Amino acid sequence: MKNRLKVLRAERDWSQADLAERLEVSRQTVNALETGKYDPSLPLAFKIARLFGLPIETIFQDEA
Amino acid sequence: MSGLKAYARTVGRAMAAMVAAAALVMVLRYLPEIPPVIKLTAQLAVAAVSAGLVLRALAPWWRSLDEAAQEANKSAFFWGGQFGIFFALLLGMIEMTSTPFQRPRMPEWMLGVIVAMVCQLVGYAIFHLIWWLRRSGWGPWK
Repeated sequence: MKNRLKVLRAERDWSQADLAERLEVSRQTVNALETGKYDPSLPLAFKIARLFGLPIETIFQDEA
Repeated sequence: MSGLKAYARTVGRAMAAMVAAAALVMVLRYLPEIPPVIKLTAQLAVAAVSAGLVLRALAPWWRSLDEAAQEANKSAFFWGGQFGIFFALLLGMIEMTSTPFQRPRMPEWMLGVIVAMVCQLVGYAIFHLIWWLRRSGWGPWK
């Protein structure tokens, strides 16, 4: 699954560690999310959407 | 506290609980004038309770992991565990069909348990590492 996490994070000038702290996950998890190698659970996806104030579908795009 | 420190502390607690339980089982074994059935029942009870205590000691660490770390552990337990146990089985078969090597001086069943555990732990560590490497975008997984 593709996502815009890296762009959204960069727009806010946050480091991976900053985002990880805000999401209460590890920096490695943020990295795995950004590279698109790990798809978050629904609760985490909603948390990310709330943090950026955007609908989920504008952050995550299904590649199917 | 770093993840590794927290893990080391948790595993330390679990190990302490296991050592305490093993000591208690040994004490029960050497207690005289107790019918063997009661002795065995008491030993099994201690083993079951201590296994529960170990899980209880591990619970806070598990809950402290984020979802990706939990996923990595689940994947490593499944794939590493499967790999390890089949590898141990293969080792057993090789040992049965070849010239016996110089075994450590311990009961055969205990040696089997240790070999199976070590193989599974090694498998777990390998697959845990692979899970994170695949998701880090590192090397061949870019």
